[in-house]
Amino acid sequence: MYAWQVVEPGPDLRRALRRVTMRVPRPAAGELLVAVDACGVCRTDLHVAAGELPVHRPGVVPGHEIVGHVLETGGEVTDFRPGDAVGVAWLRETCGSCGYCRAGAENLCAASRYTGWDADGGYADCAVVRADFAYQLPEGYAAAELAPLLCAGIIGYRALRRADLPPGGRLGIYGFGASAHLAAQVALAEGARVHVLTRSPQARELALELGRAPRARRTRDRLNRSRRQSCSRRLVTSSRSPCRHSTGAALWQWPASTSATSHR
Amino acid sequence: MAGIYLSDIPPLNYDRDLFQERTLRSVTANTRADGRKLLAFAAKHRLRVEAVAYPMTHASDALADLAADRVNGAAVLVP
Repeated sequence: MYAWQVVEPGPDLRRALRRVTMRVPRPAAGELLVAVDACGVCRTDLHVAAGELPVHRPGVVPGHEIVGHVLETGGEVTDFRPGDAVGVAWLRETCGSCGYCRAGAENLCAASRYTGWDADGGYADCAVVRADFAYQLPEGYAAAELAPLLCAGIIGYRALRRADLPPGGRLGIYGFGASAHLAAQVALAEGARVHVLTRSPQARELALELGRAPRARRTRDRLNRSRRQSCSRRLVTSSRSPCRHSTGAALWQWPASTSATSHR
Repeated sequence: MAGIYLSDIPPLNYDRDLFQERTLRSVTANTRADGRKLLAFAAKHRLRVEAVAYPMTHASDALADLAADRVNGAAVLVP
């Protein structure tokens, strides 16, 4: 099968990645062989290719926002059948028995492994995933639309939950890429007021369009009227400090009297 | 603060940035429960996903465009 490997991690991306032909992997017991229909390009892939995050496996195939369909199941798989649509994400496996795993914090498991970092990912025709770490997918989306949900969407969602924004609260988002534009829509639908800070004119326009979406605005206004809260949160989704005075670090409570955009 | 890799954070000024009982939180990866909840949310609320498609054969171009901030939304490789 066709695949891209990270062969020479470094700032020259055209040398970092190489197109190769490799054998189609075989699904072991409990695993699925997935034909890739779309694979999102996450900034983490860029950090791996650029050598900023050292590869955990030489020649790894990057890509962890995989939308595909099951080609073959290994033994002991009951939740998926060949032909089923399936999503593969960053978290590849965990030990399942440590304190973090037992406490519902498997993201902190010391033995956690990651798709496209510890094992081959989706910049390829096919990929293998453990069935219990594969996702069933919502209907009504094209494969290319679903792919960004599988990391950008999920991590934005977790960040929003970590922000603990109260109903009708105010959210400041610093950086507005793949993750932020999805998290913003979740926040808007849940009734938040959202402020976006980004250098990119296209990203600003996208943010304004999302803010004008009628459904989001109606929901927001209704919730604002019913449960207006004074707390707000800042959410940094950019890998670079947005500006010196913002401290580049912020996801913290902010007095209601201070505008979320006042740092400039 | 959501990201797996970040440039260094400039010094914080305690009085301006942290006094008044402010809270700073980071995010590390995700749980499967996060994934299932987000996908369930997407099934109920049609999200607008700003996806820019690249042929799988142009993966390095997609990464280069991402590095240069030339992608508005998300780059996606398709076979």
